[in-house]
Amino acid sequence: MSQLDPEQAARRALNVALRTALPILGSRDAAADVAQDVATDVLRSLRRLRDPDAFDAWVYRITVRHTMRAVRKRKARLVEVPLELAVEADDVALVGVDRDLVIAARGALGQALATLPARQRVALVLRYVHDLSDREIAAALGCRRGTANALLSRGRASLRQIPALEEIAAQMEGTYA
Amino acid sequence: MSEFGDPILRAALASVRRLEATDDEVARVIKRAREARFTRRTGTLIAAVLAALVLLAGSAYAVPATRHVIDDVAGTFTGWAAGNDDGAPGRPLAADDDAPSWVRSEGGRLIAKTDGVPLYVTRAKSNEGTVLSFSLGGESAPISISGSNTIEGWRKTFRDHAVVVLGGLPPDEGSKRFPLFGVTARSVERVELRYASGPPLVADGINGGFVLMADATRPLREIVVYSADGHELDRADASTFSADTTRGS
Repeated sequence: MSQLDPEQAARRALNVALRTALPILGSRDAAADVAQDVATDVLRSLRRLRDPDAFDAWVYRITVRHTMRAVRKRKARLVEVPLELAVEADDVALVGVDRDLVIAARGALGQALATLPARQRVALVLRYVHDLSDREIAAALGCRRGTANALLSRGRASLRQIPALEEIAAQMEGTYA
Repeated sequence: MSEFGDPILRAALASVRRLEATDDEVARVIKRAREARFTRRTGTLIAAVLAALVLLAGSAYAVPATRHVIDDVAGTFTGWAAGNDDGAPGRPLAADDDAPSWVRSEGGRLIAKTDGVPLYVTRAKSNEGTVLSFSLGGESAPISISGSNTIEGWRKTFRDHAVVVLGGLPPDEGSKRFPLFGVTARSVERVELRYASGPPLVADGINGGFVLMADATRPLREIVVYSADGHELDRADASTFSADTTRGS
């Protein structure tokens, strides 16, 4: 983002926060609350950001902080992640897998994510929603690159243990072998 | 599971990438960010509105400077607002000051503190110019109220006054004291709150601002400020901040 126009900054911050918080908190309303807090913080401190190119990394850090705080507040209850949004043709084309498999994976992943530790969830979402590198994920989480990599590995390993996802992966392998 | 990873996760989460904030959400957050500088985080909304009204009334009722005003409140803050830290009011925040996070992040200064109730000032650049914000109450304090304006906006309120009462908070139920706060010219050394009757409440060592814990059981009359050599510099009406008034009754 080369120009830090407040409306543009607010929209960008809201989108980043919504896309991060929804799969982690499992509720559009809860994600919207986090997004409002993130974007408000961003707007209030926008003039203090000296390097516009650092905007995204800065927003990710604020988003992670607010999302983790929301997770702590909600930790007493099980959160089911509703990822039942429509499957678009692009989703399938993007990865070259069968539409039914995507739908099945989406449902299983929603439940599986909820079983992971919050930091692993955040790391996975930053990678698979925002396409951040290990280094960028580490910056957002405030940890070392190796730690970010370990969170991703552990997250993926935990997901492998979910029977429904294992079955989907097996089908995927059979279909596309 | 022989293979599991990127393709299936990306596909499953692809729909999340298309989430977009609505125009309403964008508008709400911009409004909220603007309003964040004038908030009362505890108590009722009614109390917040009352406090804001009282703050405005305080400006309107501040009496004209007719006495030995040799400088004014505007002079206390304009140099600092312009980026000159020499002669800045109050002191920089210390590590153990209980300042709200936004005050700390904006490099605020503590200009008064009484009985654990602090008054902070911050300066920040905006499209409209430098914004000065005054905030009463700490991060963990049970009270918090702040008001912001550009330095030009404040100048209209501060010019030719050695004291301006910024506000008074309604006392809590059963409480006998409540904070009355304001800002002063550099030359002010002493602030005296006079009641309708009885002895005044006095604060010395003023450095740009004051917080007085006023007696909620006695009607207030006025604030009188003095220089270090004892000259009366200015007066401001304080009757509108009496507890009955701030309670809205």
